[in-house]
Amino acid sequence: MDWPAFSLTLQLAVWTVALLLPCAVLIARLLAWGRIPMRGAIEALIMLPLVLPPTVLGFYLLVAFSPQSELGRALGAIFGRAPVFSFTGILLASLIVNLPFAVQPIQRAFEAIPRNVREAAFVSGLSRWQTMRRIELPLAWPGIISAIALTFAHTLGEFGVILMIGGSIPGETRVLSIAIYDRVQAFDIAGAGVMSAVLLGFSLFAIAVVHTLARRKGAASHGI
Amino acid sequence: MSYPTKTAKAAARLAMAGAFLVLGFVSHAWLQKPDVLAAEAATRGGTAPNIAAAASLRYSLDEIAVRYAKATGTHVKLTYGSTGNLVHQIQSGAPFEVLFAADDRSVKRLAAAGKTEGEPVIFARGELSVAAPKGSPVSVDSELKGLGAALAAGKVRHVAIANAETAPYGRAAEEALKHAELWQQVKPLLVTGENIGQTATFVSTGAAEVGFIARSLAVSAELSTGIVSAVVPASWYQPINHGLAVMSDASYEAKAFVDFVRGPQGREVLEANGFAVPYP
Repeated sequence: MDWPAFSLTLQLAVWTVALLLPCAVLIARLLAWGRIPMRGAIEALIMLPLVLPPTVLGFYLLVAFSPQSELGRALGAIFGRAPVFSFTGILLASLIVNLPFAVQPIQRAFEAIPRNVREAAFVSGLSRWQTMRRIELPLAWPGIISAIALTFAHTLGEFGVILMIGGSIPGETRVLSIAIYDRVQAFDIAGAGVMSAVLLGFSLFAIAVVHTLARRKGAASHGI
Repeated sequence: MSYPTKTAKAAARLAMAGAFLVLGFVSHAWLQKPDVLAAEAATRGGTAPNIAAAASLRYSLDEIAVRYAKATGTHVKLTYGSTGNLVHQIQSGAPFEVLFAADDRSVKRLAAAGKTEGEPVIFARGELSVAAPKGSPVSVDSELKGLGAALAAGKVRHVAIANAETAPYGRAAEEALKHAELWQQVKPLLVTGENIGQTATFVSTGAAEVGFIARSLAVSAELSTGIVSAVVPASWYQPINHGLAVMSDASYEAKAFVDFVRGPQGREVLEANGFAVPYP
């Protein structure tokens, strides 16, 4: 069992959720209620990673993140080195890949909140921030939870893009899915079996936890 | 209440997406049709044999297949991948009739599993090249002196090799680096390609400053314009024997292609692409 790979996978999933969630809430809220130009185009752009093969995205990122590209150099100036073959690189990729999984459920949840509820909140003298914190976010909670669940679970299983830009470096980019692939390649069926079982079990556990959480919180907010 | 209009809008959007999808399929099918017809005509109604081959053989076998089609009017379907993957696929029942491998271990494995007709044979020997993208801080030479200097100067961030455990060119790269006494310095900088083709991509895109790839790829028209490469001395690593295995259910057409690859035309292309071909 490749525990460093397991821990790396977890770190990637946690970081992806932590960084993506606040952005996703803001984007989703803007898309749900904001008056923004070219909304259809922006929505389509956010959906794009969903339909794009990971290899296409991986290819573009490999070229873009390389130290020979402008973007790679610019990112290198920020992060100390070009992001290809690094944890930063696969984290950036993971953020892009998971954008639709994070934004979509939250946007739907915001859209389902009737306008008069928010108007009532304004009329009651709640500020924008208070409305968001005390009315909108609790009502959108089930959507936020499913965004977390989807993003987390999807990152645990992320393979294609990481295969393309990771370079399978232990402790840096060799996540569990890549480690499993390596084991299969090396005809180590037992090793691959153990790791696959661990990933399967953990994915089930993570989804169960999130769903329980969603049900409780959802019930609580509706019970108020 | 804004619900009904919202639902209507969503439905309209869905319908539109559906329409685009249908349009896409139709246009795709329409565009595909002439190709399919041409392929069917070319194979004269017979089925083109499925051939699996290691990524390092891509350019050579593509060219041999073109020559073969010209000479006989028969097409073959070539699938490239890492040898390990292909062996797994064959063992799980993938319909490949021949495997051109990048090593001799995996074809022996298939023979031991009773999948092959007769004993596997070695049809080519690969050579290892060191390669760097143009503009790389690493200057490339056979004896790896430039690599040693760049390593000492701390100019190298990534060294790309194929997976040393599963890919023969990766194994050879490790042996060559150990021979040059650079392995300890290189080890923390290694990035591993899933197969030698991906390793070459790491180098050609400039993602890695230097890498060890098959000479057959380094000299190919597609790669040689963007990289600088040198052949690593063959005595620095164990030979990279390329074995081929004919599966027990192989068709006559598949065996005819194998004969063609091992014949004078195949030899010519393989040698031009940087392989050594042993005489039978």
